[in-house]
Amino acid sequence: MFAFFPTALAAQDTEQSNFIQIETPWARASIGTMRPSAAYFSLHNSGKKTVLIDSIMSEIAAKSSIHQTTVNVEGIGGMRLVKMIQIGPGESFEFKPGSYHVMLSELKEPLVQGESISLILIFGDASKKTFEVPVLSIGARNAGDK
Amino acid sequence: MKWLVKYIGATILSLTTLTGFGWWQIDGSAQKQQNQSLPAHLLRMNFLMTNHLGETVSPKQLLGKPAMIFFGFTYCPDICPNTLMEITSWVEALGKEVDSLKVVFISVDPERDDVESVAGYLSNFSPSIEGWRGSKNQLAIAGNSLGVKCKRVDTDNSDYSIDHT
Repeated sequence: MFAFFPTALAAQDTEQSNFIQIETPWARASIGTMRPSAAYFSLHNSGKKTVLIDSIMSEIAAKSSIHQTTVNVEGIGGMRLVKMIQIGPGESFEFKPGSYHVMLSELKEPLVQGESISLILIFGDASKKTFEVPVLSIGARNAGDK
Repeated sequence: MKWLVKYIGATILSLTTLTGFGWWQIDGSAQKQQNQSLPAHLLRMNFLMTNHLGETVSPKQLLGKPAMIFFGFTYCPDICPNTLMEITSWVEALGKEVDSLKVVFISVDPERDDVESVAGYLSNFSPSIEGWRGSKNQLAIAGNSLGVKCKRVDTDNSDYSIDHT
């Protein structure tokens, strides 16, 4: 038992989840449960190693995916599934409208303005980080909106 | 007011439209484009759709006023609500002058967007924004007439998105 204790502590110190700070999280209110919604936030890696975001989950949605809105040279826009996000040491990564976002679909409950949901980041080393995300109006464009 | 459609005169009808991803000028996240010239004259456009009130509408409804048309779909959780809110802020800034403008949202996803869902979606934004929904064929005609492209793209296992102008 004592032999494992220091090992467990050491493992915690190196978990990728310990090096990520989450700033300005917010999600968009949904239209009922039939239409998907989106969540946004900034991530900062304060560690000395690259951190991988493998996936994102939420209890409120049966399906959560990392998407990127893109526009090609012809002005045609669309959404693409992003398999993994890599954040270098000291770097930040932003999820924001018109760019990277967490798409929450097959909602179990609607996202209601003024309430909050929880998201779980799952890292490349399988460590996890859960955080609260306030739900803003459907027309919100950043975390400072209502 | 680059984004406004210019409609000049009773007989000389011209339409320049900010279609789809008009947010590029606000967010600066897309390449800036040259003004797209539209291939068809409003009176030569021939498509029928249903608006969010259940009324039949055609390009003739766009005559007589400058019109701004936005293409989107209600299953779009990111840029569509963002742009509609942007449009809402423009429309609100116009105050009473908004009555001299026509603002139309056209769904590019008739498979999932019926008239009721378009109406429900738009109820979250300015009441000055009309929602139009047409059959797949009518949407294709509207797209060709207005110089707008849209294409279904599979995203996840059972999901799809619409790439569009």
